[in-house]
Formats: sequence, structure tokens, C-alpha cells
Amino acid sequence: MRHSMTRLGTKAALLAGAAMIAGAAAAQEQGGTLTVGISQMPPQPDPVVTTFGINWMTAAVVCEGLFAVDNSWTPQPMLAESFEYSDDGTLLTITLRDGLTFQSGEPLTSADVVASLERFRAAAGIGASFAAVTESISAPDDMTVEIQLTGPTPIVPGLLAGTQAVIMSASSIGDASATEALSGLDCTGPYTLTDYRADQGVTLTRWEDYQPREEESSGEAGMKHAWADEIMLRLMPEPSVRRDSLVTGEIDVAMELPTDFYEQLESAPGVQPVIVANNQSLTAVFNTQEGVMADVNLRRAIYHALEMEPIMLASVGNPEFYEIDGSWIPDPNSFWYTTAGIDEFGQPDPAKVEEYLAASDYNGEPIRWLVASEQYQKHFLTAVTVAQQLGDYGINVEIQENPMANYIQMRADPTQMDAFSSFLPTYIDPTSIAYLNPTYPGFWTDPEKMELMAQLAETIDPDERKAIFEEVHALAYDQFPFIKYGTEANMYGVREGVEGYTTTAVGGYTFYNYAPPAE
Amino acid sequence: MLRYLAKRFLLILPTIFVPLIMVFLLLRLAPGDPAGMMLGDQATADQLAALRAELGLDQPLPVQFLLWLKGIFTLDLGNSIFFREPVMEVIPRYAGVTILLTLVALTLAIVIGVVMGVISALNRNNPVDRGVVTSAVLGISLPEFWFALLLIFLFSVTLRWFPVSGWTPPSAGLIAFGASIFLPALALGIRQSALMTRMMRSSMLDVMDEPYITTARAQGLPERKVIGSYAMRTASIPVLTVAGLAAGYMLGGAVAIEIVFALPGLGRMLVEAVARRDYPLVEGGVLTISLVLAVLNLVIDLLYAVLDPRIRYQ
Repeated sequence: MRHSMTRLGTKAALLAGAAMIAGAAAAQEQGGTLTVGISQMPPQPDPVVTTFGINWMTAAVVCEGLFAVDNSWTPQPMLAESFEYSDDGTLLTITLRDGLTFQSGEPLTSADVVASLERFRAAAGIGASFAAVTESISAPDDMTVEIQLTGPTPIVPGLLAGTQAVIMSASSIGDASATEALSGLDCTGPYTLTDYRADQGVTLTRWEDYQPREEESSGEAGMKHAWADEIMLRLMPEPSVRRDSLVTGEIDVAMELPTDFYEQLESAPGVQPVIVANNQSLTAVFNTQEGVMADVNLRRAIYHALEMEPIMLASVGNPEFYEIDGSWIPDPNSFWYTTAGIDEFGQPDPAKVEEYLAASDYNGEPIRWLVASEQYQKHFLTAVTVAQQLGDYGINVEIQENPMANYIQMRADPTQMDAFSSFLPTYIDPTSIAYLNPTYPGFWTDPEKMELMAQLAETIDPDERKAIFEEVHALAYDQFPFIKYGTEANMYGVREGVEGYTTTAVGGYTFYNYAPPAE
Repeated sequence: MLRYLAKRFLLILPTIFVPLIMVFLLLRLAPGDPAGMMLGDQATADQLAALRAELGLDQPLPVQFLLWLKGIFTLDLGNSIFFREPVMEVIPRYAGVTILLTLVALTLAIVIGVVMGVISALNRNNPVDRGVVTSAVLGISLPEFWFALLLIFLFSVTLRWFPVSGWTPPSAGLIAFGASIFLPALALGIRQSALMTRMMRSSMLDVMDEPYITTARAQGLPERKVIGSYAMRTASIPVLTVAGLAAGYMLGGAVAIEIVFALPGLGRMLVEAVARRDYPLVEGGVLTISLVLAVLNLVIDLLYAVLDPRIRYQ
């Protein structure tokens, strides 16, 4: 069932269309400063050292990878000129674009790619997935990179399209490990990092020697326009301050605004809200390894006990900003979007709850449900609503709110948790979905799922892969190692005159394509 | 006097070390993992263990404690886990902002508090006095962050006199610096100014009944001189005590203001460091605040003697 966000989604699409058309019609000229209010920034700009995506913002503008993802979440060549697999599918050969240099002036060679990807292989998250499917990376000549795979797999371009897999000059990396953050970025992107002040902001200056691709812009792929002379990212942790700074014209873009501000931004002169529909799924993950939630019948009972609409309403606050949609791929633009295995999503079925509870070993034990206190709105309010709904069936949820540092530590320990609230964005390839990783908290190691995931990683044909993923999806809707409540939108604000801004969940940090308002 | 100073300096040591040791123990005994916060929520157990070993967090607590103690005595506070820089280099960047903010806020609080307190006392029980007392009660009751948001709405969004947020250092020009620090300092200082108003009013009312004030008036001294040179000077001593406490409160309590106005200060840095479990940085921050507070209290104690010649230190 899909509803709610349609009106705003349409409006967002119209705004985007208008912005792009206006941009094209006005034959945009380069110039000006784009000032962006952001909610958080890490001590260093290096994206390799952390899997927290919010910390990749600077690198997403300054750096590029071999591949980049387009609006349909498909990886497209960026620094790569071309790529091909060997006949047996175990060797991926990538040819680099000729004549590219780093911002330091050094030429881009395959040695830089090898140094960057070796560091990426040692990194957490997607880096670990990359390491799992690769045996070695080598540079037979200056412009060619060979990646020896552990077996035939089509997933590598997707893995290399993420911001953690950006290419930096080998000299700037030196011997830094994947946990040792670099203080600067020497990359090939359209802006150079000219000033980075942790807890204050970032100044990015257009790099005049940047060589864009010629394909049309789409998501993070294709041409990067670099309209602004300078992009300033200003840290403003308080959302109301970002909103007020936008209204007073101190900033041109206010990132990550609560949806409560929608009406104010619509009525304020000179600014407008931008809705990014289908941004991410709000979810709960269950400990399938041990404890009370290892009982599949209890998980089934919980799913059938939940009514998703009140849960999403409690979290998001406005029905215009969410959809009751069960797909584990939140963005319908993705090739992988599917509703396989879903019948009546979002509606409780008391008869099935009774049936599954009777089949389970559950006797009213407390279910330890972890929530990160920093995610109060998204996670605590959903968990409270879930606890109320489950309480009607005698299922006893004990919410444990903890700071993020404790939450991450506790959920990784199967003896300390039964469930935790979380979220899931759209992934480029389903093999990268964190929840499907058997070592990810939740620890879903069902043999049928493991076999299907192995097939998914090895199968080359896209349609066959989609069919396999639909089997995994349907299996998840039978075993419920995790539960999705719905899909939420994201909102940010722009000043009148800003053009080229994105309205899609992919490419959230494509500030190089934003044109600042005319002076 | 010198003996008194030496004694006070010696007393500073336990004042600093007790909170430091508590912070060391509490941080490490509390749940939470710097490695997890650094690598993010998708790191594997092996990766987390490797990073913990790299950071020395896999060593037994007594070993960590001894290494930490050695660092304190050799003035080496270690490296920040997240900044990967010596703590001694990170702290000054943030402490400067908070110290400047506190100084400006304290100045505003003292000026507002003393002036309003004197006005209130000189207009005892008339509408002006009641207005000042009511405002002071309001000022004490308002949460600072809420007052900060009100100030932003009025002076930044509506009147557009000041920037909504952000930090401009004095080196960028005094006008720009003043514009960036005025609202945060006012928001931080308003509660203390309300306290000082009440203290000054009460103290002035007491002093005004003293025989030496009557004598001064009987000698024909102008009222301005009686108030300014005699009454205010004596009445200021309790305000000075409040100012000392206020400075401590502001140094440690500027967090909300620093977050609202996006100021890169010590309070916000400490909160982030605690959230990230950046142990060396938290310890460095607490050491800095303890040290500044201890020295500040000593300076204020010494100032008593300047304001009231009857006070002598031995």
C-alpha cells in the first residue's frame, strides 16, 4: 500500500523540474558563494574511517570514486573510463580516464587507485564487503587497475560507488591505516578543501582544473557543474537556528530540518521547503541468535500485531511525510524495489497474533528494546507506540534508552539486547544491506537466506538477481528478523534563487550542482 | 599575604585532582565504546577489537590509570582519539571561545545587575522597584536556551541586527566579533544578572541604613558621591561573590548557549567528547575548567581586599 507522500512527492518533483528547467533556461553562470547550514560534522573530513554517512559530506563534494550512483541507484563510471570482466568473471579490469590530475597537481594513476582501495578494503562497513569479494588489487600499468575477485560477482561497481571508496592520491594517504583519519583530502573532485575547522565549518573552493564528465547529471553521476565559486558548510546543530538563518538569508540551504517546520517555510518569504521523498525506512531489528526474540513465532506474532500508521505518525508527526510501504528498498526508483512476500502491510491481524503466540514459547518475558537517545523522535517514539500496541496482546516490551555510544556497544552483544530501533536507507546493491549481513547486530544466519545471499553475490544477470532478492525479501517477510514500519521523507530548505538542488534520496550532498542565488 | 597565596595554590591541587580522578574512572566504568563511535554502526567485532588495541583501550584499567597519571605529571595529556591531535593543542582552540564568551557574559551580567540593583534600591517599594524585582524573578526563572531562542527571534529574525549564529574571532574585527558574541553573552548572562540585581538591591538597602552613610550625608557630600563612592563600594562585595560563582557556572554551563549559537566552545566540545567517549579530550577539558575555576576563585578572594580595606589575608 502506498499513499500519503504522493502529494508532496509530486510537488517536490515539480519543484525539482522547475529548478532544473530554470537552471537550463537561464544558462547558469558560475559565481557566488553557496552557504549551507549543516547539523553535524566529524573532527576530520576523511570518509574512510567511519560508516556514519552523515560524516561523508565534505568528501562527497571534494572527492570522486571509480564509480558513482545515478538517480536510479545504478553505478555509473566516474573516474573509470571503462570496465570489463574476464570470461570466467573473476577478474575485473578497470581503465582510468586519461589526463586526470589530483587537486595537488599529481596525475591520477592506477597506483593511487590501488592505495585508496587497499585502505578501503580494511575499512568497516562496505569496505568489509569489498574485502570479502576481492583477493587482490593490482596496477599492471599506469591507467589500468585489476581487481582479482574471489569468484564471479557483479557487485563490485556498486561497492565502489560509495563515498568511502573515493580515490585519493597515494602520497596523501602515505601509510595511514583505515582507522587513522587524514586531516586533508587530495582528490579529483570539483572543489578543493581550503579550510576545515572541526565544530565550525568547511570552506570548499572551486577547482578550476576540474575535468567533468560529459554525460548529463544524474544523482551523483555524470557532469558536475561546480556553479558556486565557494561552498561554505556552516555547522549549526540546532535545527531552529538553521531555519532562522535561512529565513534571514545568512545561509542558502538548511539541511535536515524537522518536518514540523514545513508550514513555516512555506509561508516565509524568500525560502521554500524541499521534500526528499522515500528517504529511508524506519525499522526494528530483532536478535535472532539468542534470547526471547530468537523464537520465529514470536517475531511473526509481533509483526501481525502492529498497525504501522500510528507508529509512523508518532515518529514523523505529519502524514504528508511518510508512506506505509513494506519494501526493504525505500526508493521506488531503485531497480531493486520490491514488495515480494508482502500481503496486507501495515494492518494488524489479531487472529494470526493469537495463532503465532500459541505456537511460540513466549511467556510474557520482557523484550529488551534498545533505543539511541540521540534519535529520540525517530526511535523512542516509534518504540513507545510499538510497546503500547504489543501490550494489548500481553507482549511485554522494556524500552532501554541509551546514549549512542552505549547503544552501539550493547546491540553488538547478543546477550544484552532482544531488539533495537533503527533505520535503513536505499542501498545500491542488496548484498550491501547491513541487516542481511550475518555479523550485523540481529545476526540473521538462516541457512536458506545465507544460500540465497551467496547466489545473489555470484549471479551476473540482473533479472535473475532481482528474482533471487525477491526470494530473500519474501523470506524476511516470513521470518521477520527485522520489521519495517514505513518510509519517511527528509526535508531541507533553500533560499529563493538557489537552483539545481536535488529532490532525490540519492545524491543528498551534490552541492556542486547547486547554483547560489544571484547577488 | 605570600603565605596565604602559597597555601591557596597548594589547595588547588586536590581541587583539580579529585574531579579528574572521578572523571577518569566514571568514563571507563560507564558503558560505551570509543571504537564503536569512531568506526560507526557497521564495524565488525574484529575491526572494533583491532582499534581498541591500537588506542590502548584493551589494557587493564590500573595500567591505563598509571599511564594517565604519568601523562598528567609530564604535562602530556595524550592524543584525542577522534582529532588524532595532542589534547594540549585541541583544548586551547575551544577554551578561548568559552573564556571570551564567559568574560563578555560576566561583564554584561555585572553591569546590568549592579545598575538595576542600585536603581531598584534607590526606588524602594515604588513601581520602578517592583518592575525591576519582577524582571529579576523572570530572569532567574527563564531557561537560558529558551531565552536564547527568543533573542534570536527578536534581534536576528525580526530586527536583523545580529547574525543568527556563528563565531567570529576578535582578530576578524571588533565590530564583527561584537555582533557575533553579543546575543550569546546576553543569553548566558541574563540569569546571573538577575541574581546580581537582587543581591545588589538587598545589599544596597542594608548599606544605605549604615551610620557611615548617614554621616556622609550629614557632612554635606553630594548624594551621587555618597551612593557611588561609599554605598556601592561596600554593597558590591556580595555581588563579587556571586560573580565568582557565576563565572564558574558560565564556564561549565555554556553548553546550551554554545549549541544554540553554534559556537565552537569548550562546553560543546566536552559534550561531544563525552558522547564519542573521547577519554583524553574529556579529561583535558575537565582539567582546564577545574584549573580556570580554581584560579578564578582565588582572584576573587583577593579582590575582596581591594574593595574592602578592612579585609586582610594572612
